[in-house]
Amino acid sequence: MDSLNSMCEIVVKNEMCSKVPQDDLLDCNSLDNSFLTNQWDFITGCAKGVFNSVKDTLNFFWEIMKFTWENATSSEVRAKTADASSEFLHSTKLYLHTEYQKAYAKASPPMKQMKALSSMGGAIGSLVVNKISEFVAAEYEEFGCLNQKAKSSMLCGIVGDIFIPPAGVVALLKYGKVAVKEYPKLSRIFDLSKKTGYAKTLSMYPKLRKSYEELGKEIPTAKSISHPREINFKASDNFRPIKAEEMKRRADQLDPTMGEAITAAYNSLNDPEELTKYFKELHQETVERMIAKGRPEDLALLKEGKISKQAMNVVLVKRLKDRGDNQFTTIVLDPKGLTLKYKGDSLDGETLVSAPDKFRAAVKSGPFFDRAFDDADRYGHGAFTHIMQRDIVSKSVAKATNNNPQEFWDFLGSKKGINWWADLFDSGNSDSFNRPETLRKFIGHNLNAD
Amino acid sequence: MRTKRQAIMIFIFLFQISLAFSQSETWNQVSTGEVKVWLLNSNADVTASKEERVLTEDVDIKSFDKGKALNRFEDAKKKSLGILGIKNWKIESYKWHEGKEDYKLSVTGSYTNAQKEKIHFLETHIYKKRNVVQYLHTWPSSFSDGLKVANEFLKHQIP
Repeated sequence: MDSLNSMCEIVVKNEMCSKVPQDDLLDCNSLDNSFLTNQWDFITGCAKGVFNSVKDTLNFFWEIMKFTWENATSSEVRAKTADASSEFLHSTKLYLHTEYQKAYAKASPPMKQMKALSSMGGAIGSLVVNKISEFVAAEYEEFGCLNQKAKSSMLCGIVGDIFIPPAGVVALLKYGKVAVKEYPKLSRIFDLSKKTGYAKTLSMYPKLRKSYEELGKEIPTAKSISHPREINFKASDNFRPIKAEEMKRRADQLDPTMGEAITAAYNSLNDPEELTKYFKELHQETVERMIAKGRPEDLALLKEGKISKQAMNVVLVKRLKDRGDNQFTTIVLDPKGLTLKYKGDSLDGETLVSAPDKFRAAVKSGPFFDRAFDDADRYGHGAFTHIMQRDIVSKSVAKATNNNPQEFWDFLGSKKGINWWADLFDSGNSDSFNRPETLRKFIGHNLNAD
Repeated sequence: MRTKRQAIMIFIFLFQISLAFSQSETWNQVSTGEVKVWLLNSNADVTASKEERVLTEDVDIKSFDKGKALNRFEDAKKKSLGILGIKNWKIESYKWHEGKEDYKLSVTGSYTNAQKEKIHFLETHIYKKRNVVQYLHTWPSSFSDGLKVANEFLKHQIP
């Protein structure tokens, strides 16, 4: 046992294990081999809804039994005796059904079927989980650094995917990696060998993977428009001095390029497909940054399925800078009251009702940190939401302005153009990311940025 | 006189039938799928099961050594049953019977189940040219009439 502990110490101190969060790291002082009490229960728990009937389950058991005897008999022997004597082996199926019926007869209600299957599936579960673990360990070198709880958590995520259909798992056991051709979902295991830290991290943290996979589910979107006049101006009447009717009139007088840029920006913030892709890419970049930094608190967040808000903001700033959109300014809240400051000068009010020059200057000059809303995300607005909105619309605005997006921002920062700011980026429409509060809520609840 | 004797004969005959009937065990069929399973009404640990399969190739039973054939697969069978928690599975006797159109293999033995109880079994394999029918009977050591009950079951099943 001492030599086992010494080996364990060497393993966990290896560089390979340095990326594993402390909580998940193998504890050499308690080398516990009892992985789980009943691994069949583990499989059915992780692969929910896969084994819907006793028949399906017994068929799966039967396939595993056949796999076992095929492994135990050489192909030469099988070829020589592929006759009535091999039928002698086939009768093991009768034992399977007999043992199930006996277990069922003895099980107490409720859930007699489940109890009966559980009582006889332990060894089959162990065989399957051990085999899957072998495949995972071969593809994912850090697997050996994990303690049993972390291993279970990772395997559960994998099992949940690859068991649909169960025949895929049987094929995996029989044929290994080549089974991926017929059952593409098995690639979940073999993707682990890819060098991107992201795929590995998603595999390692089921909660994180779940939040990633569900990113497109709750995106609130307003109807797309073909011209700015179709915007629901009334929704933002409280956020600009000009009212809806006048906005409609001004929409028809817009310069065609600005009309297209406003339409493009509006639609980008309301296109569910584009937004899903955007958030998934942002999620990936943020996670990769967190892994690269390797800070224990970040790894703890990943484990909880969360991403670091700070890391996400760094990614956003880097994206904008790389695009040349690098004239950052900051709007701060005056500690004496609800006064906004821009580069030291006071701005009047929290809304754009008076649309002061300095605010327009901020809009025009580049991305700005709205630190006025930084204090515990005051009013649910968020300090970074306008930067994220700017990032979301950047491509479509560049396209609409023939790669001169500054033309659009200059217009928005003008006396005439500032009124459009409310409809595009400070809207009153809660069902759209045109409203920063809605975007901030999504960042917290769906992107899980903490 | 003759009528009286006839009546006594009939009475004895009916008595014997009712006695035989009361002695025969009744089964509860609990599974009706491709594998049929019965549990003995008086003891659910006594089981019978049956599967009939059509084979894609003719059975060429004459071409192999019947004794060695079983040994070849004994280990594989043990491993396969092992993952059901069945241990110490062993053959105690076997018998081949060559009929006009079929072959019958009977195998008796025992194993230890997942609950560590010793269970006896009788496997009956009936090979025809293009199909095979298999029966499995199992009973615990405490049930001394296991083989008798199994044979009685088979008597009704196999013409």
